[in-house]
Amino acid sequence: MTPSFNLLLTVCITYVAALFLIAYLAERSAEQGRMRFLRTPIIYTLSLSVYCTAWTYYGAVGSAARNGLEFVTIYLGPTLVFVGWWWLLRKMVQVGRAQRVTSIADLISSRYGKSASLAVVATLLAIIGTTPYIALQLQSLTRSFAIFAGDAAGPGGYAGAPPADGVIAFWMAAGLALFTIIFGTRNIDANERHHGVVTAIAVEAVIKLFALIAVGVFVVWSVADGPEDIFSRMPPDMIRGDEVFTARWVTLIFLSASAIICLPRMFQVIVVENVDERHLATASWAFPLYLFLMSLFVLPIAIAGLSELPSGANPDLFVVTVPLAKGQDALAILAFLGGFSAATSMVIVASIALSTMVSNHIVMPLWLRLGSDRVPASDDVRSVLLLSRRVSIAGVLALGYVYFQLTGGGSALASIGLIAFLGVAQVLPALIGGLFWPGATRRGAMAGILSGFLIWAYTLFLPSFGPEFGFSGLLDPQALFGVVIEDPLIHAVAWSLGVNTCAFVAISLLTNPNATERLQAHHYIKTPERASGSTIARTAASEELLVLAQRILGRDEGIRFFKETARAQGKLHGLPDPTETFIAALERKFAGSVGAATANAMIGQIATGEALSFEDMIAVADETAQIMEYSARLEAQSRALTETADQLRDANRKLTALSAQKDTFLSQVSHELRTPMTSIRSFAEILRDSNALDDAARARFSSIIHDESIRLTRLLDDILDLSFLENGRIRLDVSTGPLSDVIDRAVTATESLLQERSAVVERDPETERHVVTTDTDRLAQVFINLITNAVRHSGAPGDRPQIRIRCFAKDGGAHVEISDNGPGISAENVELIFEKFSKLGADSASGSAGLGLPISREIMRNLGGALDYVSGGPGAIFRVILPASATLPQSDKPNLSLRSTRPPNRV
Amino acid sequence: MTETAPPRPRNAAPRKAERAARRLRKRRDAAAALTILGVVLFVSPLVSAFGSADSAGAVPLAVQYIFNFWAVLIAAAFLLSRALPRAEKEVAETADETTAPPNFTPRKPGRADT
Repeated sequence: MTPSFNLLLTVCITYVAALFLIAYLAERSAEQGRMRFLRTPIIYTLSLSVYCTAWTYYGAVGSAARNGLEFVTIYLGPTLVFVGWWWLLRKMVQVGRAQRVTSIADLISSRYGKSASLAVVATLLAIIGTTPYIALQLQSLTRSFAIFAGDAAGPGGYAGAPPADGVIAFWMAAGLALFTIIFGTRNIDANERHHGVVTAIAVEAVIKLFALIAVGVFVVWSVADGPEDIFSRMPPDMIRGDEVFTARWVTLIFLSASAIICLPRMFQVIVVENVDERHLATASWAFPLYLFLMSLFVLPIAIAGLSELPSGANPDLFVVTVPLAKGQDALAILAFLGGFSAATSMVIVASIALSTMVSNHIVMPLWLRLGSDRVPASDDVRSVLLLSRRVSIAGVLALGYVYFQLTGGGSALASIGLIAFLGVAQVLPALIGGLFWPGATRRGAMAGILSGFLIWAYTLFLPSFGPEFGFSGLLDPQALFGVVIEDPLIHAVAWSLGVNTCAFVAISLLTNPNATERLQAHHYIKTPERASGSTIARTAASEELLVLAQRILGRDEGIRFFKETARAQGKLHGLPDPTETFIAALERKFAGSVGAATANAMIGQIATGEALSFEDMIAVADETAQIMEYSARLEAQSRALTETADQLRDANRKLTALSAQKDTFLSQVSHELRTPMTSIRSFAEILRDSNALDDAARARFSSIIHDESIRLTRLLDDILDLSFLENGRIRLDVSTGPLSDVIDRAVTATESLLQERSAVVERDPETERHVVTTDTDRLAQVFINLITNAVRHSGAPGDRPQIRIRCFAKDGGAHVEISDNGPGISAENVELIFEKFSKLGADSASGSAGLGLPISREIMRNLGGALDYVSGGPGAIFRVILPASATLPQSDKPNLSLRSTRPPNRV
Repeated sequence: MTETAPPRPRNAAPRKAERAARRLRKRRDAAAALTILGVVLFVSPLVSAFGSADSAGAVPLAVQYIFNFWAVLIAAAFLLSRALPRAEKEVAETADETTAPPNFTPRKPGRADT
């Protein structure tokens, strides 16, 4: 008893309804934010199973029945790609997420300078490669339906004629279109995941795997008696172990490996629907495991079909016909549902991927070009996009249906799977080159894809319609230029991908990328994780950008995005500033909806400054270099200014100190002047006012006034002298004479003081035999001062001051040391004694104004020598240093007569 | 003087970062090696090496060869898929800890796989 066609139909409709329900529930829970389950890597891995279409589901068994182990290649290629996920898939997903890529055409166009033409070519390639594939799915669905219909019509369980193939295919296509439109175009941002679709596909993945394993288990352990038994029924020539490895084997593994990367539907589920890069890590082993399980029972089912079914049976349908022949209706229906799942999931994802490409890369650019004078309105781009996507989905399915009808479901379709693989593989060189080779250019990619595409179409696609297509002779599509390769597939692979790669590399080497290409290449190759805004400066009015955003993203979404950005920029009100970062972010957001090329063009319509040539960028770089140099100069200047300011501060400090010194000096001078003035005034008042003074008193007072006046005059002379000395403005009266004469004069001048204190002067005439050429009067003044000081400061009044004068030659000059037997000068006062008006301790009584030592020191300075205090002696020791220029060596003639010499330079 | 002095003992963080970077490098190399192993196993004449010994009544050696090594490859990929992201995370964490990034530059993959 076979299941009735009606039962099958009921099961199908129930199944489809369940899928609708699952998709609906998934969408709703995603909307409510309960997406944890939807975001698991398992769902991601299962959604990858759209790779296993009805062609592989049914066709793998057929291939195994015909060609033995060859079917494994279709699974081994993807296994190798996924095992090596770290190298290629990971980078693709990273780039895809960073650039908000919507399809494989978008990825390539975006990499090569957001080229619109490249996107169109890749889209057309995808459509041409995918449409027959969709037709193939419709064909397998129809055929599997027909099994039941045919069976039912046979034994008489089913009344009435089975529906024609076309009718089933039509309703299938319509139903799939409906499902895809409902769940595949809920949002236009391709990067916002289609949770409903993905979940439904994951469910279908489980069902097809379960169905195939169920049939396999049934075959191995129910029909046969374990794996060894089933293989013992194998026809002897089915597996020729020593002939497994052939050129075709390698070619098929390579083709399936590139298909898993380049097929639009695979790109859709691997890259576009990826929610988390880490899911790829799980998929790297889970997806090969899925493929492993899918192929595990292919050989047993094929063997069972070959041995159990009559020899004319179609091996492509063994999955259903074997259980059916064994009377396992439920299992047959399950197997049928597995094939149904495989077909529908492929069609759904492929039509979503294709509709995204068509609407983004063909409809949108056309719409923009045709209606450039259209008044922009909110949501208009968005609604056009949605409409075009829905129409595209219906269009793609209609195309598949038409293709199916035209080819009549003939054998031409059987080989279309591999033909489609090679067709879409033409983007592989441009894709790999784009991801890893900075030198790849747009023209190179275009040349590669076009040449490969043309050769593929001529050598493989056209001949699939029949041998009558194509020229003969040199241009024989199966043997181009007389190169005979027996297998047309290998022939086409070698020619198309060979020429493709050569053209891609050669043209890339011959051409230079433009600025946008360089930028995108940098983003793709260097740091896919952190694709920042472009370095091209663009400006646009925020209002215009908002209008555009509302057109593309929708009113609310556009406003929401602008508000968020404004907040991120720190603005509480109004629109965000149209910074380059913002424009770039907006463009990427648009790219998620309309694709990179269109987004770039739309932004370019209102943003200025986009069309920068490489020379412009160089100019920008120059400008930057200039700015950097300028800032370096500024820095140096500011450093110099800081130094100057420091110097000024120093000078100011010195000036302040000098000013304070001057103030001190003035107050000291005033004080010194006041003392004699006060006494002069008071005695003058006494003389004037009192008449009762006797002559003696009058004379005494007058002499006091006289003495004080003299003292005052002397003080003023000293100050004047010091001032002249300090400024170096004194006139030196230079003469030459023995040093002893000068000292003699000084001792003579102080004779009265010495007498008064009964001081003793010790001299050593032998040492005084120097001859000096200097202002001897001034030098004598210095000695007088020093002797006077020595007498005055030599201890208690009772002591006899002893003054010793020693001369000795040193460094070509002469040193004269004048020492006393007094208490000396304490260390802290040493520097003080040369200060003006400084009087130590009891000196105030000595009647000196405290100018003697400063004047002496200034005199010595003016004479080119120096006056130092020598510490360490028992008393005070002052050393007068006469320079070599003023000193002659010890003379044998001490009584050299004085004679005037030419005055020295200091005049 | 300074040249001949023994290297200054470094603190724990950079050494940890170095270790993590080395581990990541090794695992990446393992990922490359696994891909190459897969290619050698399945895209080489090795697959035909077991054909002549076919005997009726048993699972053909070629089938056993392909499916067994396929399973091995999947198991290795399973281990690697857990080890690689973990090592990468470790490198990122240790790089956060130390101001100086670990001395390692990610290599560009030499080839795409087939």
